Amino acid sequence: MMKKTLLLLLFILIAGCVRHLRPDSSPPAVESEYPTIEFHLKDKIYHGLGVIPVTEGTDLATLGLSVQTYYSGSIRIDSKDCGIAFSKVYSNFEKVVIPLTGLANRSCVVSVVMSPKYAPQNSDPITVYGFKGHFVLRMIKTGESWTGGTHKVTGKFSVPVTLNVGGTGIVRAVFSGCGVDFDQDLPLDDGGFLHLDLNQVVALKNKSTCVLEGVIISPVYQDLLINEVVSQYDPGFSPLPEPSISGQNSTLTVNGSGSVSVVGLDLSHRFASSANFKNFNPNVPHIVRVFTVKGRSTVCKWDTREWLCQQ
Amino acid sequence: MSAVNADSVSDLLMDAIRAVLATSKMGYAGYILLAICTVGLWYFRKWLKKQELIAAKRRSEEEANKSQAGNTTDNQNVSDKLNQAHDKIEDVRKENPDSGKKKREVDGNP
Repeated sequence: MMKKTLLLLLFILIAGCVRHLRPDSSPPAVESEYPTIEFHLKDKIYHGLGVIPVTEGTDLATLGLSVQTYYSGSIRIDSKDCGIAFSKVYSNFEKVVIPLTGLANRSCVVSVVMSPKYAPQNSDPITVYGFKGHFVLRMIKTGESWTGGTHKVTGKFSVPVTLNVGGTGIVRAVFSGCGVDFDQDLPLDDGGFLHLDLNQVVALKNKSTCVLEGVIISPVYQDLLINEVVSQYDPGFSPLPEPSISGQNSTLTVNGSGSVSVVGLDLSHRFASSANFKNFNPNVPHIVRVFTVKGRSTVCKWDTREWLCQQ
Repeated sequence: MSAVNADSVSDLLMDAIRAVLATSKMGYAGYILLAICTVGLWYFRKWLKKQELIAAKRRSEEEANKSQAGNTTDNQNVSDKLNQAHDKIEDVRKENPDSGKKKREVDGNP
Protein backbone atom coordinates (compact mmCIF):
# COMPACT_ATOMS: atom_id res chain seq x y z
CA MET A 1 0.00 0.00 0.00
CA MET A 2 2.83 2.37 1.01
CA LYS A 3 4.73 1.52 -2.17
CA LYS A 4 1.67 2.27 -4.35
CA THR A 5 1.12 5.62 -2.62
CA LEU A 6 4.75 6.59 -3.15
CA LEU A 7 4.53 5.62 -6.83
CA LEU A 8 1.37 7.70 -7.22
CA LEU A 9 3.05 10.70 -5.58
CA LEU A 10 6.06 10.29 -7.87
CA PHE A 11 3.76 10.20 -10.89
CA ILE A 12 1.96 13.37 -9.77
CA LEU A 13 5.32 15.09 -9.21
CA ILE A 14 6.59 14.13 -12.68
CA ALA A 15 3.28 15.10 -14.31
CA GLY A 16 3.44 18.48 -12.54
CA CYS A 17 6.91 19.16 -13.91
CA VAL A 18 5.97 18.50 -17.54
CA ARG A 19 6.12 21.79 -19.45
CA HIS A 20 3.61 22.43 -22.18
CA LEU A 21 2.89 25.07 -24.76
CA ARG A 22 -0.72 26.12 -25.13
CA PRO A 23 -2.38 26.60 -28.51
CA ASP A 24 -3.47 30.13 -29.42
CA SER A 25 -6.39 30.43 -31.86
CA SER A 26 -5.50 34.04 -32.82
CA PRO A 27 -3.80 34.85 -36.12
CA PRO A 28 -0.04 35.29 -35.59
CA ALA A 29 0.97 38.80 -34.48
CA VAL A 30 3.85 38.90 -36.93
CA GLU A 31 1.52 38.24 -39.92
CA SER A 32 -1.22 40.56 -38.62
CA GLU A 33 1.15 43.56 -38.49
CA TYR A 34 0.70 43.78 -34.73
CA PRO A 35 4.15 44.64 -33.33
CA THR A 36 4.94 43.12 -29.92
CA ILE A 37 8.71 43.07 -29.56
CA GLU A 38 10.08 44.52 -26.32
CA PHE A 39 12.43 47.47 -26.86
CA HIS A 40 14.28 48.89 -23.85
CA LEU A 41 15.77 52.37 -23.70
CA LYS A 42 17.09 53.52 -20.34
CA ASP A 43 14.25 52.73 -17.88
CA LYS A 44 11.52 52.79 -20.48
CA ILE A 45 9.88 49.85 -22.26
CA TYR A 46 8.44 50.27 -25.77
CA HIS A 47 6.08 47.46 -26.77
CA GLY A 48 6.31 46.83 -30.50
CA LEU A 49 6.66 50.44 -31.62
CA GLY A 50 8.82 53.32 -30.43
CA VAL A 51 9.90 56.79 -31.51
CA ILE A 52 12.37 59.20 -29.89
CA PRO A 53 14.04 62.45 -30.95
CA VAL A 54 17.82 62.32 -31.37
CA THR A 55 19.72 65.59 -31.63
CA GLU A 56 21.94 65.88 -34.69
CA GLY A 57 25.50 64.81 -33.91
CA THR A 58 24.57 62.52 -31.01
CA ASP A 59 26.79 59.45 -30.75
CA LEU A 60 24.21 56.73 -31.48
CA ALA A 61 26.23 54.08 -29.61
CA THR A 62 25.55 55.97 -26.37
CA LEU A 63 21.76 55.55 -26.69
CA GLY A 64 21.84 51.94 -25.47
CA LEU A 65 18.69 50.89 -27.34
CA SER A 66 18.17 47.14 -26.81
CA VAL A 67 15.70 44.30 -27.35
CA GLN A 68 14.62 41.91 -24.60
CA THR A 69 14.77 38.41 -26.08
CA TYR A 70 12.71 35.44 -24.89
CA TYR A 71 14.39 32.05 -24.17
CA SER A 72 16.81 31.23 -26.97
CA GLY A 73 16.35 31.70 -30.68
CA SER A 74 17.37 34.05 -33.44
CA ILE A 75 16.99 37.77 -33.98
CA ARG A 76 17.22 39.90 -37.12
CA ILE A 77 17.74 43.68 -37.00
CA ASP A 78 17.61 45.91 -40.10
CA SER A 79 17.88 49.62 -40.64
CA LYS A 80 18.46 50.95 -44.13
CA ASP A 81 19.21 54.50 -42.99
CA CYS A 82 21.23 53.61 -39.87
CA GLY A 83 23.23 51.01 -41.83
CA ILE A 84 22.25 47.90 -39.86
CA ALA A 85 21.86 44.38 -41.30
CA PHE A 86 22.42 42.21 -38.27
CA SER A 87 21.41 38.69 -37.27
CA LYS A 88 22.28 36.76 -34.18
CA VAL A 89 21.51 33.49 -32.43
CA TYR A 90 20.71 34.48 -28.86
CA SER A 91 20.27 32.51 -25.66
CA ASN A 92 19.06 32.75 -22.09
CA PHE A 93 16.85 35.88 -22.30
CA GLU A 94 19.83 38.05 -23.19
CA LYS A 95 19.23 41.71 -23.94
CA VAL A 96 20.49 42.30 -27.48
CA VAL A 97 21.87 45.80 -27.94
CA ILE A 98 20.92 47.29 -31.32
CA PRO A 99 24.25 47.92 -33.07
CA LEU A 100 23.86 51.65 -33.71
CA THR A 101 27.11 53.43 -34.47
CA GLY A 102 28.30 56.84 -35.66
CA LEU A 103 26.84 60.29 -35.17
CA ALA A 104 23.17 61.01 -35.84
CA ASN A 105 22.91 62.76 -39.20
CA ARG A 106 19.51 61.53 -40.43
CA SER A 107 16.35 59.89 -39.13
CA CYS A 108 16.12 56.12 -39.34
CA VAL A 109 13.76 53.24 -38.72
CA VAL A 110 15.08 50.13 -36.94
CA SER A 111 13.06 46.96 -37.67
CA VAL A 112 13.45 43.84 -35.56
CA VAL A 113 12.15 40.26 -35.81
CA MET A 114 12.75 37.77 -33.00
CA SER A 115 12.05 34.03 -33.39
CA PRO A 116 12.22 32.17 -30.08
CA LYS A 117 12.66 28.42 -29.65
CA TYR A 118 10.96 27.06 -26.55
CA ALA A 119 12.09 23.86 -24.80
CA PRO A 120 8.63 22.20 -24.96
CA GLN A 121 8.75 22.40 -28.77
CA ASN A 122 10.65 19.12 -28.49
CA SER A 123 7.50 17.43 -27.13
CA ASP A 124 4.53 19.64 -28.18
CA PRO A 125 3.40 19.60 -31.82
CA ILE A 126 2.64 23.35 -31.87
CA THR A 127 3.89 25.83 -34.47
CA VAL A 128 5.64 28.79 -32.86
CA TYR A 129 5.60 32.30 -34.38
CA GLY A 130 7.88 35.23 -33.60
CA PHE A 131 7.69 38.87 -32.50
CA LYS A 132 8.36 41.98 -34.55
CA GLY A 133 8.65 45.73 -34.06
CA HIS A 134 9.86 49.09 -35.38
CA PHE A 135 11.75 51.81 -33.53
CA VAL A 136 12.17 55.24 -35.08
CA LEU A 137 15.07 57.58 -34.30
CA ARG A 138 13.97 61.04 -35.43
CA MET A 139 16.95 63.31 -36.00
CA ILE A 140 16.25 66.88 -34.93
CA LYS A 141 18.49 69.94 -34.98
CA THR A 142 19.50 71.66 -31.74
CA GLY A 143 16.69 73.93 -30.55
CA GLU A 144 13.93 72.26 -32.60
CA SER A 145 10.72 71.21 -30.83
CA TRP A 146 9.40 67.74 -31.35
CA THR A 147 6.58 65.54 -30.13
CA GLY A 148 5.53 62.03 -31.08
CA GLY A 149 3.95 58.76 -30.16
CA THR A 150 2.89 55.33 -31.36
CA HIS A 151 -0.47 53.80 -32.24
CA LYS A 152 -1.78 50.33 -33.09
CA VAL A 153 -5.09 50.73 -34.91
CA THR A 154 -7.52 48.55 -36.84
CA GLY A 155 -10.66 48.86 -38.96
CA LYS A 156 -12.36 52.26 -38.97
CA PHE A 157 -10.40 53.82 -36.15
CA SER A 158 -10.68 57.10 -34.28
CA VAL A 159 -7.74 58.29 -32.21
CA PRO A 160 -7.94 61.85 -30.87
CA VAL A 161 -4.60 63.66 -30.93
CA THR A 162 -3.98 66.81 -28.89
CA LEU A 163 -0.91 68.96 -29.50
CA ASN A 164 0.26 71.76 -27.23
CA VAL A 165 1.12 74.37 -29.84
CA GLY A 166 0.85 77.48 -27.70
CA GLY A 167 -0.58 80.89 -28.63
CA THR A 168 -3.99 81.46 -30.15
CA GLY A 169 -5.67 81.79 -33.55
CA ILE A 170 -4.97 79.72 -36.64
CA VAL A 171 -1.97 77.49 -37.36
CA ARG A 172 -0.97 75.58 -40.49
CA ALA A 173 -0.82 71.79 -40.00
CA VAL A 174 1.05 69.73 -42.59
CA PHE A 175 1.23 65.93 -42.44
CA SER A 176 2.51 63.26 -44.79
CA GLY A 177 3.77 59.67 -44.82
CA CYS A 178 0.70 57.59 -44.01
CA GLY A 179 -1.35 57.75 -47.21
CA VAL A 180 -2.73 61.30 -46.79
CA ASP A 181 -1.06 64.55 -47.79
CA PHE A 182 -2.71 66.87 -45.30
CA ASP A 183 -2.21 70.64 -45.41
CA GLN A 184 -4.83 72.73 -43.61
CA ASP A 185 -5.20 75.85 -41.51
CA LEU A 186 -6.71 74.82 -38.18
CA PRO A 187 -7.84 76.80 -35.11
CA LEU A 188 -6.22 76.41 -31.71
CA ASP A 189 -8.44 76.25 -28.63
CA ASP A 190 -8.22 78.88 -25.89
CA GLY A 191 -5.41 77.01 -24.17
CA GLY A 192 -3.26 76.89 -27.30
CA PHE A 193 -4.04 73.23 -28.05
CA LEU A 194 -4.63 71.78 -31.50
CA HIS A 195 -7.12 68.91 -31.72
CA LEU A 196 -7.36 66.49 -34.60
CA ASP A 197 -8.09 62.84 -35.19
CA LEU A 198 -5.45 60.45 -36.43
CA ASN A 199 -7.93 59.22 -39.07
CA GLN A 200 -7.73 62.66 -40.75
CA VAL A 201 -4.03 62.19 -41.49
CA VAL A 202 -3.65 58.40 -41.77
CA ALA A 203 -5.21 56.20 -44.47
CA LEU A 204 -3.34 52.91 -44.49
CA LYS A 205 -3.89 49.61 -46.20
CA ASN A 206 -4.67 46.85 -43.72
CA LYS A 207 -1.62 45.20 -42.23
CA SER A 208 0.93 47.94 -42.75
CA THR A 209 3.08 50.32 -40.71
CA CYS A 210 4.04 53.91 -41.44
CA VAL A 211 5.68 56.89 -39.77
CA LEU A 212 3.59 60.03 -39.92
CA GLU A 213 5.75 63.12 -40.39
CA GLY A 214 4.25 66.50 -39.61
CA VAL A 215 4.85 70.12 -38.75
CA ILE A 216 2.70 72.78 -37.11
CA ILE A 217 3.56 76.22 -38.43
CA SER A 218 2.47 78.88 -35.98
CA PRO A 219 2.49 82.64 -36.71
CA VAL A 220 4.03 83.23 -33.28
CA TYR A 221 6.16 80.25 -32.25
CA GLN A 222 8.89 78.24 -33.95
CA ASP A 223 7.81 75.05 -35.76
CA LEU A 224 6.56 72.03 -33.85
CA LEU A 225 7.71 68.77 -35.46
CA ILE A 226 5.57 65.64 -35.07
CA ASN A 227 6.08 61.94 -35.69
CA GLU A 228 3.47 59.27 -35.01
CA VAL A 229 4.32 55.64 -35.73
CA VAL A 230 1.16 53.82 -36.79
CA SER A 231 0.56 50.10 -37.35
CA GLN A 232 -2.78 49.16 -38.85
CA TYR A 233 -3.32 45.52 -37.93
CA ASP A 234 -5.58 42.77 -39.24
CA PRO A 235 -9.14 43.24 -37.86
CA GLY A 236 -9.20 39.48 -37.18
CA PHE A 237 -6.41 39.86 -34.66
CA SER A 238 -7.05 40.54 -30.96
CA PRO A 239 -4.37 41.94 -28.67
CA LEU A 240 -3.60 39.67 -25.70
CA PRO A 241 -5.66 40.70 -22.65
CA GLU A 242 -3.81 42.12 -19.66
CA PRO A 243 -3.07 39.48 -17.00
CA SER A 244 -4.58 39.74 -13.55
CA ILE A 245 -1.78 40.52 -11.12
CA SER A 246 -2.20 40.24 -7.36
CA GLY A 247 0.21 40.00 -4.50
CA GLN A 248 0.39 39.06 -0.88
CA ASN A 249 3.55 39.70 1.12
CA SER A 250 6.42 38.80 -1.19
CA THR A 251 4.41 36.43 -3.42
CA LEU A 252 3.04 37.67 -6.71
CA THR A 253 0.28 35.79 -8.56
CA VAL A 254 -0.07 36.33 -12.31
CA ASN A 255 -3.09 34.93 -14.16
CA GLY A 256 -3.01 35.16 -17.94
CA SER A 257 -5.70 34.11 -20.40
CA GLY A 258 -5.99 30.43 -21.42
CA SER A 259 -3.92 30.88 -24.57
CA VAL A 260 -0.89 32.15 -22.64
CA SER A 261 2.04 29.73 -22.79
CA VAL A 262 4.61 31.68 -20.81
CA VAL A 263 4.27 33.81 -17.68
CA GLY A 264 7.27 35.70 -16.36
CA LEU A 265 8.38 38.01 -13.59
CA ASP A 266 11.62 39.78 -14.50
CA LEU A 267 13.86 36.95 -15.72
CA SER A 268 11.95 34.07 -14.03
CA HIS A 269 9.60 32.37 -16.47
CA ARG A 270 7.17 29.44 -16.35
CA PHE A 271 5.48 27.50 -19.13
CA ALA A 272 1.96 28.08 -17.81
CA SER A 273 -1.04 30.42 -18.08
CA SER A 274 -0.81 31.35 -14.41
CA ALA A 275 2.01 31.30 -11.91
CA ASN A 276 3.12 32.40 -8.46
CA PHE A 277 6.44 34.13 -8.03
CA LYS A 278 8.24 34.58 -4.73
CA ASN A 279 10.70 37.35 -3.84
CA PHE A 280 8.51 40.15 -5.19
CA ASN A 281 9.73 43.37 -3.63
CA PRO A 282 7.18 46.19 -4.10
CA ASN A 283 9.85 48.81 -3.40
CA VAL A 284 11.78 48.14 -6.60
CA PRO A 285 10.57 48.10 -10.24
CA HIS A 286 9.56 44.76 -11.78
CA ILE A 287 8.37 43.54 -15.16
CA VAL A 288 5.62 40.97 -15.68
CA ARG A 289 5.21 39.52 -19.13
CA VAL A 290 2.81 36.98 -20.62
CA PHE A 291 3.01 35.66 -24.17
CA THR A 292 1.59 33.07 -26.53
CA VAL A 293 2.94 30.86 -29.29
CA LYS A 294 1.47 33.29 -31.86
CA GLY A 295 3.70 36.16 -30.71
CA ARG A 296 0.93 37.96 -28.80
CA SER A 297 2.23 39.50 -25.60
CA THR A 298 1.47 41.88 -22.78
CA VAL A 299 4.22 43.55 -20.79
CA CYS A 300 3.44 45.17 -17.44
CA LYS A 301 5.83 47.33 -15.47
CA TRP A 302 5.67 47.85 -11.71
CA ASP A 303 7.01 51.35 -11.01
CA THR A 304 6.80 50.85 -7.19
CA ARG A 305 3.32 52.41 -7.18
CA GLU A 306 1.22 50.70 -9.85
CA TRP A 307 1.25 48.26 -12.75
CA LEU A 308 1.31 49.86 -16.20
CA CYS A 309 0.56 47.37 -18.97
CA GLN A 310 1.19 47.51 -22.71
CA GLN A 311 -0.57 45.05 -25.02
CA MET B 1 -1.39 16.53 -41.71
CA SER B 2 -4.09 14.11 -42.86
CA ALA B 3 -7.38 13.59 -41.00
CA VAL B 4 -5.70 10.86 -38.94
CA ASN B 5 -3.84 12.24 -35.96
CA ALA B 6 -2.73 11.02 -32.52
CA ASP B 7 -6.07 11.98 -30.91
CA SER B 8 -8.15 10.13 -33.47
CA VAL B 9 -5.95 7.07 -32.95
CA SER B 10 -6.70 7.27 -29.22
CA ASP B 11 -10.41 7.15 -30.12
CA LEU B 12 -9.76 4.16 -32.39
CA LEU B 13 -7.96 2.48 -29.51
CA MET B 14 -10.95 2.93 -27.22
CA ASP B 15 -13.34 1.68 -29.94
CA ALA B 16 -11.19 -1.43 -30.42
CA ILE B 17 -11.17 -2.18 -26.70
CA ARG B 18 -14.95 -1.80 -26.53
CA ALA B 19 -15.43 -4.03 -29.59
CA VAL B 20 -13.24 -6.83 -28.25
CA LEU B 21 -14.74 -6.70 -24.79
CA ALA B 22 -18.20 -6.87 -26.30
CA THR B 23 -17.33 -10.10 -28.12
CA SER B 24 -17.14 -12.42 -25.11
CA LYS B 25 -17.59 -15.49 -27.34
CA MET B 26 -14.06 -15.06 -28.67
CA GLY B 27 -12.48 -16.23 -25.38
CA TYR B 28 -8.66 -16.27 -25.31
CA ALA B 29 -8.48 -15.44 -29.00
CA GLY B 30 -10.32 -12.22 -28.19
CA TYR B 31 -7.81 -11.28 -25.51
CA ILE B 32 -4.87 -12.05 -27.80
CA LEU B 33 -6.47 -9.96 -30.54
CA LEU B 34 -7.08 -7.19 -28.04
CA ALA B 35 -3.40 -7.27 -26.98
CA ILE B 36 -2.16 -7.19 -30.59
CA CYS B 37 -4.51 -4.35 -31.52
CA THR B 38 -3.59 -2.34 -28.41
CA VAL B 39 0.16 -2.70 -28.92
CA GLY B 40 -0.15 -2.01 -32.66
CA LEU B 41 -2.29 1.05 -32.23
CA TRP B 42 -0.08 2.30 -29.39
CA TYR B 43 2.98 2.23 -31.64
CA PHE B 44 1.02 3.76 -34.51
CA ARG B 45 -0.10 6.59 -32.21
CA LYS B 46 3.48 7.17 -31.07
CA TRP B 47 4.68 7.27 -34.67
CA LEU B 48 1.95 9.75 -35.64
CA LYS B 49 2.80 11.97 -32.64
CA LYS B 50 6.41 12.01 -33.79
CA GLN B 51 5.37 13.01 -37.31
CA GLU B 52 3.19 15.83 -35.93
CA LEU B 53 6.13 17.04 -33.84
CA ILE B 54 8.49 17.00 -36.82
CA ALA B 55 5.91 18.87 -38.95
CA ALA B 56 5.33 21.52 -36.24
CA LYS B 57 9.06 22.08 -35.77
CA ARG B 58 9.52 22.39 -39.52
CA ARG B 59 6.62 24.90 -39.75
CA SER B 60 8.10 26.92 -36.85
CA GLU B 61 11.46 27.06 -38.61
CA GLU B 62 9.81 28.03 -41.91
CA GLU B 63 7.86 30.81 -40.19
CA ALA B 64 11.04 32.09 -38.49
CA ASN B 65 12.93 32.10 -41.79
CA LYS B 66 10.03 33.77 -43.62
CA SER B 67 9.62 36.62 -41.12
CA GLN B 68 13.37 37.19 -40.78
CA ALA B 69 13.81 37.22 -44.56
CA GLY B 70 11.00 39.78 -44.89
CA ASN B 71 12.46 42.14 -42.28
CA THR B 72 14.78 43.94 -44.72
CA THR B 73 11.91 44.66 -47.14
CA ASP B 74 9.65 45.74 -44.27
CA ASN B 75 12.29 48.16 -43.06
CA GLN B 76 12.91 49.52 -46.53
CA ASN B 77 9.19 50.17 -47.11
CA VAL B 78 8.70 52.03 -43.82
CA SER B 79 12.01 53.95 -44.25
CA ASP B 80 11.26 54.99 -47.83
CA LYS B 81 7.83 56.37 -46.92
CA LEU B 82 9.34 58.26 -43.97
CA ASN B 83 12.08 59.77 -46.15
CA GLN B 84 9.58 60.91 -48.80
CA ALA B 85 7.36 62.47 -46.13
CA HIS B 86 10.38 64.10 -44.50
CA ASP B 87 11.38 65.71 -47.81
CA LYS B 88 7.83 67.07 -48.31
CA ILE B 89 7.71 68.55 -44.81
CA GLU B 90 11.19 70.06 -45.18
CA ASP B 91 10.11 71.73 -48.46
CA VAL B 92 7.15 73.33 -46.65
CA ARG B 93 9.42 74.47 -43.82
CA LYS B 94 11.91 75.99 -46.25
CA GLU B 95 9.10 78.02 -47.85
CA ASN B 96 8.02 79.18 -44.37
CA PRO B 97 11.19 79.71 -42.33
CA ASP B 98 10.57 80.09 -38.60
CA SER B 99 13.60 82.28 -37.94
CA GLY B 100 12.62 85.33 -35.92
CA LYS B 101 9.67 83.56 -34.31
CA LYS B 102 9.48 82.98 -30.55
CA LYS B 103 11.22 79.94 -29.15
CA ARG B 104 8.66 77.42 -28.00
CA GLU B 105 8.30 77.10 -24.25
CA VAL B 106 6.37 73.81 -24.34
CA ASP B 107 7.40 70.46 -25.74
CA GLY B 108 4.24 69.75 -27.71
CA ASN B 109 2.73 67.35 -25.21
CA PRO B 110 -0.56 68.39 -23.66
